[in-house]
Amino acid sequence: MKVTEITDRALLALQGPAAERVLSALDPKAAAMRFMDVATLTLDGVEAWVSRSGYTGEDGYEISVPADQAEALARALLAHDDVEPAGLGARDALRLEAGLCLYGHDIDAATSPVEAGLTWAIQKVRRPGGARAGGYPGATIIEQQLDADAPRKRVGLLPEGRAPMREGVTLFASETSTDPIGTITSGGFGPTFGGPVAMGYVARPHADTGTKLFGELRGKRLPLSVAKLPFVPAHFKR
Amino acid sequence: MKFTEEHEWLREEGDLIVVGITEHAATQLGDIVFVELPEVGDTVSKDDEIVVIESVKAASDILAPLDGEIVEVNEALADAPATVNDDAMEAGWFFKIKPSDLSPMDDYMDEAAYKKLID
Repeated sequence: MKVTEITDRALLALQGPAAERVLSALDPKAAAMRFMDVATLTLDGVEAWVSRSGYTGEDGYEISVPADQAEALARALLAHDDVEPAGLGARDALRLEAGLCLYGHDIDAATSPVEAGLTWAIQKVRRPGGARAGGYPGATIIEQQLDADAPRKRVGLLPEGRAPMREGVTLFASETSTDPIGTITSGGFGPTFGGPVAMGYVARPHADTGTKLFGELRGKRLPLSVAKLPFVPAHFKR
Repeated sequence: MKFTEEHEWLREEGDLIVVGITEHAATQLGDIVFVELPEVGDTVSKDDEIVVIESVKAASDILAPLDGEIVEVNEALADAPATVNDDAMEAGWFFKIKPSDLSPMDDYMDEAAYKKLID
């Protein structure tokens, strides 16, 4: 197999409930696509590789175009009344509310998919008992964790007060305990949720939904509880 | 009224100084969702980090502009932190300090100098 890195294209994301209406005005084929479908569309004269996906938890499209035509297409999309520019801060708030992992924060080379709750990414045929089981990097530990569970789990965390708890906040089982049981890997204010939200890793005995924990913020232990992800339901076009 | 380079405003009220952040700073921070204030009775030193402001974008610290004692804090901000966005220069004040040394006031900017800073 040969993998060729493509370096001359740029990626735009058009996300939200109006995305279908806006994009299908440029190419009607956009409307027929379902979540994760990929198609080549012609948008404002530009050949675009489009997938109905994104990293916001909302319906929308990711649009790959030749880099030298990206600005013109972005401006054509922004000319629509329903389209506004959104930066990384907005995207980060949305993906956190959607419970989606950010690489380098919620997952990295030291995280297993069992800890991270990402076992959906392991094909059935590669799992224990499958026709082509094992034989991939990390298979030994992943198979062991699929069987006996992981020592720590990624969970949603809901601060009880108004203070956002961000990446790096250490978690404790009680107000007085000395040994940390986990840490926040992403956190902030969820504008759609309407309050502070976070996610992080906690030791398995503390990972059940509803478990009360404390996060140490500026020297104070503040209460939070383990919560189901996502904080805002996904609106994919299934 | 005086202004610091940290975008605080300082208004004299009798022998107290009322402190808040400027409209410019509030706009730059974006939607403010949480404000942590000092305790009434705290003795603070100039440049101590005594207020934490959290916006949707980031957390930032506000420094004590003077040495002194905190005599009043704006309790309303606990439930309505967005007041800082809506009315930064009046209703969005943070705390009142009884200064023990007023000399740094001479180094702070007047309104014209501050306007120049943010232009």
